[in-house]
Amino acid sequence: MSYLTNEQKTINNCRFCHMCRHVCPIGKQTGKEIHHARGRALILSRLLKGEKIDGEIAQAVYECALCGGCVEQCVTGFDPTTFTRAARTEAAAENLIPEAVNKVVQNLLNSGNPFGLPQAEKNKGFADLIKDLPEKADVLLFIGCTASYKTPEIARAAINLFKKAKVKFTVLKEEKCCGLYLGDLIGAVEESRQQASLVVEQIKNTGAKTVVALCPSCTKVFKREYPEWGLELKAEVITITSYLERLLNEGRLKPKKLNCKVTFHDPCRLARDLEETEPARAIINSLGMDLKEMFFNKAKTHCCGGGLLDLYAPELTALTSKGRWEEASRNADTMLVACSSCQLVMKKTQPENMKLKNLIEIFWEQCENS
Amino acid sequence: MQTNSLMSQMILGELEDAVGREHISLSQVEKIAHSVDNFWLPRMWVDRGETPPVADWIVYPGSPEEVSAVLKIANYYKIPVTPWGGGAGSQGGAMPVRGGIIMDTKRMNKVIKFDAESYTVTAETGIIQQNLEWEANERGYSLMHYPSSIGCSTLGGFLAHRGTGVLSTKYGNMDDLCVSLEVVLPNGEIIHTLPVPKHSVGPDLKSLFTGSEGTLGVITKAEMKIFDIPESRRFQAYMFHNLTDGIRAGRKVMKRIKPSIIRLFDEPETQKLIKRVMGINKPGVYMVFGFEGDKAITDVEANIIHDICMESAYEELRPELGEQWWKQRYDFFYPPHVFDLPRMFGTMDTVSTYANIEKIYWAMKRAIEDNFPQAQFIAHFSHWFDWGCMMYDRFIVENPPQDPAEALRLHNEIWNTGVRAAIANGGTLNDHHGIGLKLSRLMREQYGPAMQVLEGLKKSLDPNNIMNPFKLGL
Repeated sequence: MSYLTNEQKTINNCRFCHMCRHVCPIGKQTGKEIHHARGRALILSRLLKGEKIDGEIAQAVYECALCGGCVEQCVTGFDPTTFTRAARTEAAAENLIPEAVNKVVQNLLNSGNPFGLPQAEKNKGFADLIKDLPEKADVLLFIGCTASYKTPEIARAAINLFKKAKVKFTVLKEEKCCGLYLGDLIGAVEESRQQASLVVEQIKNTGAKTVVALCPSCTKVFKREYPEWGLELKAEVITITSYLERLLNEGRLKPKKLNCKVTFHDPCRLARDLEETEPARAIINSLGMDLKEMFFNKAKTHCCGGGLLDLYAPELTALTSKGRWEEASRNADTMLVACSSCQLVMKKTQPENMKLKNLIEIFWEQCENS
Repeated sequence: MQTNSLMSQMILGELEDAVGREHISLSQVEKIAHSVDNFWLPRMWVDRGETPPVADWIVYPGSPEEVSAVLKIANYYKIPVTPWGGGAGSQGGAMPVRGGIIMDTKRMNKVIKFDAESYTVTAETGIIQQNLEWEANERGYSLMHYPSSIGCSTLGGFLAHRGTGVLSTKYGNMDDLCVSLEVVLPNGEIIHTLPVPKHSVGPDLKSLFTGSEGTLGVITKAEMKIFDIPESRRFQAYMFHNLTDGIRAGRKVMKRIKPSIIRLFDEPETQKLIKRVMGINKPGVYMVFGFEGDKAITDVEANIIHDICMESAYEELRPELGEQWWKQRYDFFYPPHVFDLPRMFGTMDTVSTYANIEKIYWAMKRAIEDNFPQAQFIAHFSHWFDWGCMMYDRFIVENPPQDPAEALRLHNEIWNTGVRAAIANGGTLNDHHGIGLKLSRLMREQYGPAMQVLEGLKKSLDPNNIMNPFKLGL
């Protein structure tokens, strides 16, 4: 039985419907019919009628950021990401994963992270800050692969903020990958579940009652996919932005003001999947910044392209991120991000006249000497 | 043309030279995605496991110069070219019925200039209309073109079939909203219509190309009117006993003021759609008015509409119900609300004078339901003028034949019957969806000897007949 069979209703409802095409960040840039839900559903509907998946179809279903823009747009509740994921599982089962995507899959399976980097290097950027942290604590700061390997300065900022606020916390010394990327690439199959279950065990061993995830994608998989995969984190899961807002409200962090005009790029996973938009704004407000909202903000945010897509289709994320910079430039010369993946993607196409700052890092800078 | 033949490869090389290798696709996936628009027949064809006509090359030009280069190549080799914007038209206008090149215009998607002085915006025509609208909204303006397909289709597509939107009663259709065009002719020449839409410099070129559905060239840029977001936008809704009362009320309102919306639903559509989507469960026909502008003016208009309607309406609904219709106006077009397979359906929109429009409603209804007992006919009247209004009528067949050829036959017979009833009673073949492939065979019946004017134009501009063949009866 095809993995698409369970998605028949959604496929058949989406295959002739164009009503979400205008919100796709990739389709908006490329104009291609396969870069929106209808085009993919039309192709997949033919598979439901007996056609076989092939390399071209597999390539098409991986050219999606799974950002949920189409889901948010559909007033009748259809979710095209479900059939895109199912088609990816189908492609994986038929050994049709495109080469560039498969490289990332193999990195995840063999190295435990999407970059194919050694586990031993994961904490290098902040090892000094965590070496004396206890093995067990009520609060666990979950760093995530992207911040660990690629933006350790953000991890440092978060750790320093927790120390400043005198939070009793710990950080996993050999943190495993949350499993989101593998799930997004090959589906909710045994390999993804197994990878995730390692994390569940790690977290359990810390005794943490609260898991603060630095990355919105990690938060999303903990809160949404893990229960679907039959995994249970017996802890409160909270985003870094929500936790920092909590510390602000408790008076445990008192940042100095920063007088500048900024715009904020809502990470799609945070704004749509987790329906969280205000804590980041509360932090921006606490810094005294003049926030000029983008037209496409909050749940209507335009995805930058995403860290995962950037790993195997950087030509697409170059287009999506340029589009987002154009939107940002109409509001301020400084874009704030609250996600390491967004930061990496946006940095690659950063115009000369625009600044890019991570909210967590700026927040630490303003709290450091307060 | 076989795409693995030597000549196909030679032509491919020329096309790659024109637009760049990365902007051409031969993939079957893209060809299939570009073979089905919103026309029922190719959708049914796919649903029955068949493959509609596909193009040989999918080409994405990024500029009018690239469009020009591609058309020159196509002309030389006599390759058909089908322009494709959003591919969301309901008439089969973007189907590549003779293969050849699909020219997907969506790479040309930039806003070029806002002219705040003249209240216009110039944009490339491959931009999705909603994205253009949002860029205008960011600056405090609107293009006031709100069809249900605003997120589906391109600026160029709407111009190519002279589309209309929900607010057209006040602001006009795409031809009215257009100030000037840039067009690439079939021979590759890039031309511009006059910089203003009203003049006395011969026949209006702009109006030759709006509505030409890609048969006379490719529209690549357009300057469109923009408007301030109105201070006040209000709605009032009424229930009438019957269509006659509703049409009379609408006509009277149009003699006094210019609302932005008048929408009158016949009894079956009131029962089917309004009840299902909005939960209003009342007998008779539902009518909603929208009007907008300065608050002082809309206050007066509200009273005029109220007074006229209450001469014959049996109930004025709470304004919230009109506002609810406005907020949910696109919801009707999402699945499962939108008509879709397995049903057969078609929108036979037509337009006529007030003297004829109700007569046309009953003539079409009888023609469809008497000749095709399996079909239901529903309608609403949604774009109003000083002289008449249009009727957005649909037929629905719940269980069409499974055999695709049988289904196609029944579909076309119903269409022939319905639109001929419209034409016979003073209506037109179509109001605002265009002709495409669906109604191409009936253009001669509509125009009679006047068809030679269109044919002469086509022959002169496109002697090799490469542009969107078999559409518009040309």
